[in-house]
Amino acid sequence: MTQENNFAVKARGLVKRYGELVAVDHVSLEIPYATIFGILGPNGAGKTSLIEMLEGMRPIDEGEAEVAGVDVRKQPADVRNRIGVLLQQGSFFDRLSLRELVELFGSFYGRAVDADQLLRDFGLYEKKNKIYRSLSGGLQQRFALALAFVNDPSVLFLDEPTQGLDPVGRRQVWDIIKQQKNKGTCVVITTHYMEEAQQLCDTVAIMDTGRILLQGNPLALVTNLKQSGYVNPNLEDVYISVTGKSFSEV
Amino acid sequence: MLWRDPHNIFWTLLLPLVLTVMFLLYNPTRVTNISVGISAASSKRQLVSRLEHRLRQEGVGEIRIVNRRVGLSDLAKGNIDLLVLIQNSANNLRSLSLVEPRPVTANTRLAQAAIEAAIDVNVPKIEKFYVVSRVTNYADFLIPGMIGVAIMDAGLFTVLYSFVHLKRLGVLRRLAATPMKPSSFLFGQAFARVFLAVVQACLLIAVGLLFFGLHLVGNIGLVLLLTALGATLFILFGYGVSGFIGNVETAAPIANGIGLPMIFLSGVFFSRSVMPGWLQFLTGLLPLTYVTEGIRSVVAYGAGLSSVLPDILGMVVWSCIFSIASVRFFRRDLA
Repeated sequence: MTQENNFAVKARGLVKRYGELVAVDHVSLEIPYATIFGILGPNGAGKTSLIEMLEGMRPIDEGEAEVAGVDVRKQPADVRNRIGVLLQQGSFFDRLSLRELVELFGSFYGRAVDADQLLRDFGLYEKKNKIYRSLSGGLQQRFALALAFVNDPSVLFLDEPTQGLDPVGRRQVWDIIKQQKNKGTCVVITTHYMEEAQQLCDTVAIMDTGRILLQGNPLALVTNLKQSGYVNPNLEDVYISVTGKSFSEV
Repeated sequence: MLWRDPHNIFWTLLLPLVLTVMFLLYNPTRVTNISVGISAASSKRQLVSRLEHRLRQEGVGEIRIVNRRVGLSDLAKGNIDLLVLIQNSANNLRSLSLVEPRPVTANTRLAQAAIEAAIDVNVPKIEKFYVVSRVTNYADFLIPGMIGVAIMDAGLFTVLYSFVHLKRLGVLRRLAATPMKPSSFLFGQAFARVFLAVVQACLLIAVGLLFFGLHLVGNIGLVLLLTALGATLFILFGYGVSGFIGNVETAAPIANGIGLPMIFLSGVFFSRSVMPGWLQFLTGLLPLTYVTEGIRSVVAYGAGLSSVLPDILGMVVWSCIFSIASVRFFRRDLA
């Protein structure tokens, strides 16, 4: 079985409820390998709940999902073993050094990890003996991203990967993501930055109030809109046309 | 903002209230810590209860009805200050004899005074009993108690603070995104804390031996075993409670609201024998009581493994209760 025949991520009818609120409302997805897939939407759209269900971190209320060939509902720990994750609100034992953290997390995946190499790849080698809490916010973010790669995953879930980074930092992250795609990894990101969705993603899914309203290649979506008469549309115009509200209104 | 945090308010207000009630229930001015044993044939039951009633009026704290053999053994161990023997031929309270230990303590004399006041007459016959009476000082009483406190610190308090801290930082969340098993994490945390508790126990014993005349009568290995068991118990307690706590500010009041009353109620600083019977029974069921009294009987009275089995059993039961609570609440917490 070659990778091309399998989807990295398959989801059907996923639902997540918090009491009365339906955060994820019957979402279905099919994401192949060697793709950068972006979930675009404002805060509160349900992006994080959706992605955390796919990561096997949050219980799925209804529906099915398969990630890296493993059924998420039945074997969430196995899913977590094969994927790399960057959380929006996650942190690390603040009194451990970067190197110790890499080794600790590596041990969870039952495989040997070259901590030095990983830190070097992300430009953190000089700081390897510094403890996590002594790092600046930007470096902490970079380290969190590095740790998503500790188990050499075939599927990456990055929740708001460039949040709080300066333009240079953002470019660096984009480069890393593109490299991963070229290696054949499936990279799923969530974002609320239009530019990021437009420039980086092969496919973008526009999400609002728990539903995926539109999905497709960003350029194609924009082109479609142009053909229906918009002048010089961008992705935000696509968003408005689909949801009926502007991004900043939410 | 303070008033928007109901948990915090509740636990903060609770603690002084509980302490006040506890201290007033002790009522130390009325009841003393004198303990008296009474030994008589079963036919003398009426006399015994009359004497018991009068002694309580005199403020005797603890009265044990025993047979002669057990009474002498209690006297030797220092569980009672004086033993009253009612002869088989006695038909009133005037014909008693007393057995007192050697060396005599102030409490023995007080007990004698209480008895003489109770029967309105100087007791004519006092049998002096040369007993290998264990000399115990306050260090023998306090240090096992403080080991109990240290165990509760290393277990309950550190777990509460650190888990709430980790949860707030988002560390637990990041761990939940890995294939790490929660049990591995909990086990690792527990092991470090048990080690800490054992170190603390050794320090306290060393200080007691070097400076305060602690009599370490029993086996120190058994003491450390009880310490490790007690620490495990309180760690499980901490895991169970941490599931309830939403924020850091609530952790301290809850930890103190549970811990401090328990310290007083479990007989760390003074003996539970001054409590009214029903309170003694209830406080005897507390987790810290099993730990403290188990360690105390080994340290001060040289108890062996078989003697402390009831205390160990108590600890095991509490551990099971807390385990169940932790499993229910912690899994929800990690996600």
